[in-house]
Amino acid sequence: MAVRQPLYYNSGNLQEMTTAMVGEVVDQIIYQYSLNPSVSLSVVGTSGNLAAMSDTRLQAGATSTSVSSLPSEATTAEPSVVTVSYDKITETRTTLTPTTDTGKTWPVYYTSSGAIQSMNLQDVKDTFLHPAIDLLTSGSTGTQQAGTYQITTSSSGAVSATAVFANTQADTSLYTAGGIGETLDQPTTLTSYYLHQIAGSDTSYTLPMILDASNNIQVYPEATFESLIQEWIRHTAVSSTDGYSVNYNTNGSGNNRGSGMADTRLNGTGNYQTRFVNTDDYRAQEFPNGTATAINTYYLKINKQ
Amino acid sequence: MAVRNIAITDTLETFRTEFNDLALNDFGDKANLSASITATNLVDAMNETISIATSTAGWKIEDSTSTQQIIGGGDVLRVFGTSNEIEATVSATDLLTIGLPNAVVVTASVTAPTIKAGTGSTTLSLSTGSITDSTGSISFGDENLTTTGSLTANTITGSGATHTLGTVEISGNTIRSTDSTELNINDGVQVQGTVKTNTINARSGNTVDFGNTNISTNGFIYLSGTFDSAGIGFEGSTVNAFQIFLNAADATADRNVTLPNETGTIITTGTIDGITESMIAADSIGQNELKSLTTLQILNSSGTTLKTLYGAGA
Repeated sequence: MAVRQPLYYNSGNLQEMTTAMVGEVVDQIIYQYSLNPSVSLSVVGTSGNLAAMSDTRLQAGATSTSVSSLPSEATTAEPSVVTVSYDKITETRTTLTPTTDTGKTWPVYYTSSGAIQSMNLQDVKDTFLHPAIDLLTSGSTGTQQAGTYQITTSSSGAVSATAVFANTQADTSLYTAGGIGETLDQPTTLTSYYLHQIAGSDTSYTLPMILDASNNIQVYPEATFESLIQEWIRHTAVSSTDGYSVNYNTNGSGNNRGSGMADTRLNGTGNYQTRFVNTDDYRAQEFPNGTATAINTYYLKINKQ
Repeated sequence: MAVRNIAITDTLETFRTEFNDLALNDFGDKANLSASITATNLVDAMNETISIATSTAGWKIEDSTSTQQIIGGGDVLRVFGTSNEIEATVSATDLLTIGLPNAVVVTASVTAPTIKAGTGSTTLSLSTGSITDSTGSISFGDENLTTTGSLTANTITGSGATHTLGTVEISGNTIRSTDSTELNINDGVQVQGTVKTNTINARSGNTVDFGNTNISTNGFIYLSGTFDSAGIGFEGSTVNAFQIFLNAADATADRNVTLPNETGTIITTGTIDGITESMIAADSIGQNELKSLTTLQILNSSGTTLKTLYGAGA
């Protein structure tokens, strides 16, 4: 672990960056990642590669009929559970080959022996990339997680207008005795969940110094630096072999991202209702009833490994 | 000879001695009269002599002062020359030849003579303060000329090897003083050719002033004094009590200090803030010129030194 303090140009002097300044560079790396994430999520119709989430609800039991009398409750079918699977999130990993270290690729720092040395890749990882990944994969959903995803109940600004999960429930108001013979599944959506990508913020930061081709010290050209760190944060997120690759899952390991997607279901044992249609048609049916009870809560999780 | 006179108050002794002298020295001894004179006293003898002289074939001789001398018959006229002045020669039968010798001595003066030498027509003329010769030249042969006065000449040409004017000797092309080691020329000297000398000293004081004359040499200007006394002094733009001296340190070997081919001001150890960037050549300052040397290495990401920066230490 070798966290460096890169040098920067301060009114004609070379000065070590403070921890806060290094943090600003990390924020810029996150912003660069947000501009072109290498691990992206999209919403598909079905068969997304993230684990499916189940939305369950009750539906009315089948209608019982008789030509002579009303069917008893005992003989009337109980409400049953309808399960809808949501596998609409697909993770796409875009690999790339980043710029390799020429020996003078990375910013310079002041060594303990008083020399100015270019950071090596491990230094860069320890100082910039891994802290950036740590922030990107945290449970927060601010600009320091830009480019990653979260779940909210708002469709505005979502990756897709298609909800990645919906918590549905039997709409008990739709079931009436006079309508026995009701359609069994008459759900209502309580909450829809949408996938959002967190927007980045191009915060100010101080460019570090670098060695040029003539081994002179110069301020890192901004475009070059930002291109480089974007390459490497993208590469790290998708291809890290030392525990900093980013992936998403649902209800697996990692930090929750955004709202938990609750699957709630009415917990009643059935609302027994009868209907006399005519002397040859007696009906009974059990409608969903009860109070909404959480069956499961799914989370979009971001993980590093 | 004064007339002898006996005063009334003189003594007999005075009279006696005066008388004796008169008799002995003025009148003389009668015994010495010529035997041809019969008179026995001087008056008579004189008269007898005159008588004899005028009574015979006598004649007188007179000089330029009208002084006459009777030459009586039988008398001998003796004419003698004076050595180196005039010479007289008596020859038969009655010839007296008076002439000048080949070598004439004029004791007092010769007034404006014209001397004709030999048989030629040229003449040597002597006049007041002047000797001239019709040939235009006078040769003194190998004689020495000496004068306590002045010698004025339009041209003096010395044909001898050595000539001395007072204490100044001219020997061939060499002029020197005979009484010292120094010729004193009390005026400016202008030399058409080259002045060769090994030493130039101030005539007075300790400064040789070349005025506004440039000094040029193809060789070195060697300042033989020691550090404290030798150097080149510059008055600067203002003549005052202060000068800028260019001195040399004590040399322990031959050194060469080369002035650069450029216009500028020489920098010294006393210069403050005098060195500008343009005076320092690119890539010319090394680590050894820095005070309290501090190095700063620039390494690549592998730790290999790419460059070492040298700076003055804090």
